[in-house]
Amino acid sequence: MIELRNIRKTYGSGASAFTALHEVDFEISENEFFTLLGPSGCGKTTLLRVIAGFETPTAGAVLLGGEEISLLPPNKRPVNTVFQNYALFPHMTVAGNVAFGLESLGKPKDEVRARVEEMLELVQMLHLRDRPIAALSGGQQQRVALARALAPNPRILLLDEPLSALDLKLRKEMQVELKRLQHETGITFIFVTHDQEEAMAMSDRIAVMKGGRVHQIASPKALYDRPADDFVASFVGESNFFPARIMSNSDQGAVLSIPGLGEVTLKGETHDTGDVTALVRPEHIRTGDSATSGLILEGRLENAMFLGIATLATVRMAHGQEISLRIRNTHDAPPPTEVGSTITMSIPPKAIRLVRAVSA
Amino acid sequence: MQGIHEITLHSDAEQAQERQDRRTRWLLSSPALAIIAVFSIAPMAIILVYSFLEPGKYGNVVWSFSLDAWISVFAERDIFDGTLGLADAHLSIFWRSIKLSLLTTFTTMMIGVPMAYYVATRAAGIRNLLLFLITVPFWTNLLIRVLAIQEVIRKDGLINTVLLNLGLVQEPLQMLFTDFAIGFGMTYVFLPLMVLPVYAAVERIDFRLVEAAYDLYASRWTVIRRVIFPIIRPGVIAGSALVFIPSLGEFVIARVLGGGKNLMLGNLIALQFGQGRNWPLGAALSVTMLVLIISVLLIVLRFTKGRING
Repeated sequence: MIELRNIRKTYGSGASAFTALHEVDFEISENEFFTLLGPSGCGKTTLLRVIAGFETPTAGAVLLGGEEISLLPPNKRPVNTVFQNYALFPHMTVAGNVAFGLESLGKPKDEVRARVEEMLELVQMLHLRDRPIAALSGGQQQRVALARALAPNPRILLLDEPLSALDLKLRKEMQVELKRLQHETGITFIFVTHDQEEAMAMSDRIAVMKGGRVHQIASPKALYDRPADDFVASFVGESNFFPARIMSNSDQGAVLSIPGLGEVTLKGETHDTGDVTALVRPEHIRTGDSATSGLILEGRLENAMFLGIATLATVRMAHGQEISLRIRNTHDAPPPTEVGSTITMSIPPKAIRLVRAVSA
Repeated sequence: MQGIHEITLHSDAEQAQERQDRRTRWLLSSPALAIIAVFSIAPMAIILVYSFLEPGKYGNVVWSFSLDAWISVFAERDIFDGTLGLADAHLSIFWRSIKLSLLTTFTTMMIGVPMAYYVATRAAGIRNLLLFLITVPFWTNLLIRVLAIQEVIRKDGLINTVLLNLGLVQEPLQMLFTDFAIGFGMTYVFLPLMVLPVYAAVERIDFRLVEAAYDLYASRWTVIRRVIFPIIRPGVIAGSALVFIPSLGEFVIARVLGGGKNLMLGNLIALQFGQGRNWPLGAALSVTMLVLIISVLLIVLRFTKGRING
């Protein structure tokens, strides 16, 4: 539905020019919960502002339903935004804020009133409709901002880190709430965040950005299981990276050699021989009695952090490399706790992913 | 209140403490109270008392009660039959003062608000330079600045020379010694008093609100009317009061640019304490002006307070 075609955004000119977006090119489909994920300064907010119309792309085009909207001002685009600090009008009531967009569009009074009520009902704020904004808590302001942006029934709702100002418990509640709202309204949501957990919890698809470039666009599961490069892998979840080498390819599969760890055959896979980076998620490494197949390793326990459901452990190998483990705590197999003790681990070949190395 | 005290202050110690607190509060605020009493209440009381006395022959007052000053503020005795009629001369001066002050407030608002908005939305360096330029006239004596205005609007002054040379007018325009000249001069002199409080209000605007309004389909005009103006309204009200109050009492500008016949309230009062040698009348006129100012401010407050949702 919305297409971003080779968007580039450069600020300034000459030697001081700064490019915030490099040839961003992808599509978002109808009724999708799409997330732009990346560290601060990755260009995700700039991209959102390009879609909203607050920034004009230096090159490229934004198409909505096949029509180019790159040059339309924000008040001519059927796109509404939930701002990071909500930007609610302090001199208006809750209902006044929600009515603003509809009134600007010149809707008749009855329709505005009915729609405002419907929206406040949707975000469970109807009982506070006549309150001034200053009398609301952060979570309530968040709901009003949502109702205000949804009221004109936009084709796309943009959300700029809307949950970052809320405390953890409220944030979790709002994640569920946002997902519900997106489902009920059927509006395409484009959500910006730097919080990978938040992105994973809500999104249909995630675009991982860094330095103004999109590194990978995939569903949360695909992003986690098949990260395109080491940046995506480390940004989404925890990772162990091993510099490794593809030695050869046989009928069995590709033979991977990890210095200090050994050799393993990646069954059914074929890769070009040469240097690669191998990724193993901490929870995929087995320990104790179950450490029986694949690369079997021994190391010294450096520290162990008990987290309730799991224990996060760091093990140092004989050649000096540290490996992170996430060991599930079960009632019959107590996790290792004694620092300095020797730990036996195994990495199943299926847990090994080869990723492109882009981070220095 | 009394009931609450009885319930909450049950111990002697607490009551003693409360008494001590009250004494401390009075002691701490006494310097401020003394200053207010000496410099604010006392002079006003003197003026009020003087307005009920008789004028002395060479100025000053004679200590005997009289309502003559107050009567002559609003009424004048007919020279032939001795009946009282409305004091047309005074009333027309009141009216001119109010009219010109409101006009000045309006024009400074029309010029000052966009100007303040422009200055407040520039980059920091330019903003400070512009603010500096706005305050520079304050460093020059008022009389000098008003005389400079006279040079500009005189018959053979700058404006007329330009208009004549461009062929826009055949005869030089009479601007000096008119109400226009007074309004023009007051607008020029009081403009910074409007710009500065509005500037402070504009500077506090969260421009994300403006973005939010644009995002919600507002036109440029809607943004100004429904978002920017309601937020800067306190600044505009403050600026209007700062311009209106001194305008009403202004006499230097009216004297130099209005000539002898276009008097304002300030000139009338100055006249009574000077050549007129009628201090009680001057005092009564001053009190009248004070009442006028307070009434206008109350009306303004009435119309601007509690307006939400603009």
